[in-house]
Amino acid sequence: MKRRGGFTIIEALFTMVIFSLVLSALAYSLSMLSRVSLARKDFGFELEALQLTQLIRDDARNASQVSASAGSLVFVGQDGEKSLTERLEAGLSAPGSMATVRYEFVEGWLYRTKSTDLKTERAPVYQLASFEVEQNGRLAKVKFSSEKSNKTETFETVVQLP
Amino acid sequence: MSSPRKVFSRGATLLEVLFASFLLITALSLTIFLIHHSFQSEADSGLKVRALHDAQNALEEIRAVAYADFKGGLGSVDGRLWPCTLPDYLIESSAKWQPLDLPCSELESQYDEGRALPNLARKVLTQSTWKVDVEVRRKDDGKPLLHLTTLVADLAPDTFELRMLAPDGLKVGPEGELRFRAVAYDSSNEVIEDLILTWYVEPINSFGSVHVMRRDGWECVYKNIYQDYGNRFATTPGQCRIVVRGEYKGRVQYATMEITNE
Repeated sequence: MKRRGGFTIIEALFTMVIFSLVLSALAYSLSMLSRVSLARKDFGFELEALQLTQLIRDDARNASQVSASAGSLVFVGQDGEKSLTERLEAGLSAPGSMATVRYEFVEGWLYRTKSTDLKTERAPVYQLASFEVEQNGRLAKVKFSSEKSNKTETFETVVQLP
Repeated sequence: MSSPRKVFSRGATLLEVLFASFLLITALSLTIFLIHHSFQSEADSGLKVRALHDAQNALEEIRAVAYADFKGGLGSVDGRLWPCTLPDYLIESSAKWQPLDLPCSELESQYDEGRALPNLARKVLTQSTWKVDVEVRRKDDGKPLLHLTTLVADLAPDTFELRMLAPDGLKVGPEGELRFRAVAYDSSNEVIEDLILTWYVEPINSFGSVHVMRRDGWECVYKNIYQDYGNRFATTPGQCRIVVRGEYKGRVQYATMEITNE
């Protein structure tokens, strides 16, 4: 028996169902891709917040005095970043030089300024939407928010003060 | 027999279309699975970083509690819940005293073969450190997301007073023994348990030896005998001083008593 050319209606319907399934799967995978890219941006927020927190805590542990106000934090203590060569030249038992580390929030940027007897270095740390410090005894609450792609994320960090 | 040109012009059969669709769906499913898996890992990492941030905040507060009241603060930290920014999770801390073993200073090689070794029990500091665990876990099924463990020491500066007691008196005959005890108090007049103590004898016009020192350092036995430069054992009537040196939070104190060797 000779077969007729082209699809029957049932074959055409069946093929349409299969193609619609394939297209749905494609659309789903594309939506997943967009979610991945959004998640990557969120992840960036959290990592930056963790790095900033660690930086402030390291300076706080190294300090012996602190002064906190609404938009700034100042730590005074031994210069922990002095290289071994410099320390050896000065003599290991020589008293360490003092360093002052100041965090200031100016025009959307958080700056870290480190001053020693010899030099002062000022560098922007992160671009932030806000930065506030609230001192409560030996604890400081550092609240900061970051804004990216019209999304704002707020973090509150607890820092033990010297 | 039909030519190849004629075969192509016939179009795809249903079987061919189904097979092609099957291949396409399989490839797409694999891609979706990989993307979904990557998204899940990314989301888990983000969640863990956020949880780490919150857990570290809790640890900072625990360190502040330890600084303020090391002896009494343990109870307020153990089993306490801390604020968590992740809505489905909670942060709980647990704390207990962590014994710290001091190394034994006695070496077996210092003892002759066949000679009985002294009690080599280690000295253990029992009230110097907290072992703190901070766990971030799901509220519903308690599945842990993150677990941090750290040791917290008492870093608040403090003064202390070291005293020496002589229950057997201060006069001793040749080759006789005297027991001495040390006791230390912190600034709130409470007895300090974890103190590192060293005993030794200072000559005035006579000399003697620290014969036995208890491993925890709180007690020692003085003997009115010493070994001279010629490796001979001797006793000399006169006075010497027994000294105990105590170290606590980086500060050093001494207590002394004068002994009369008869």
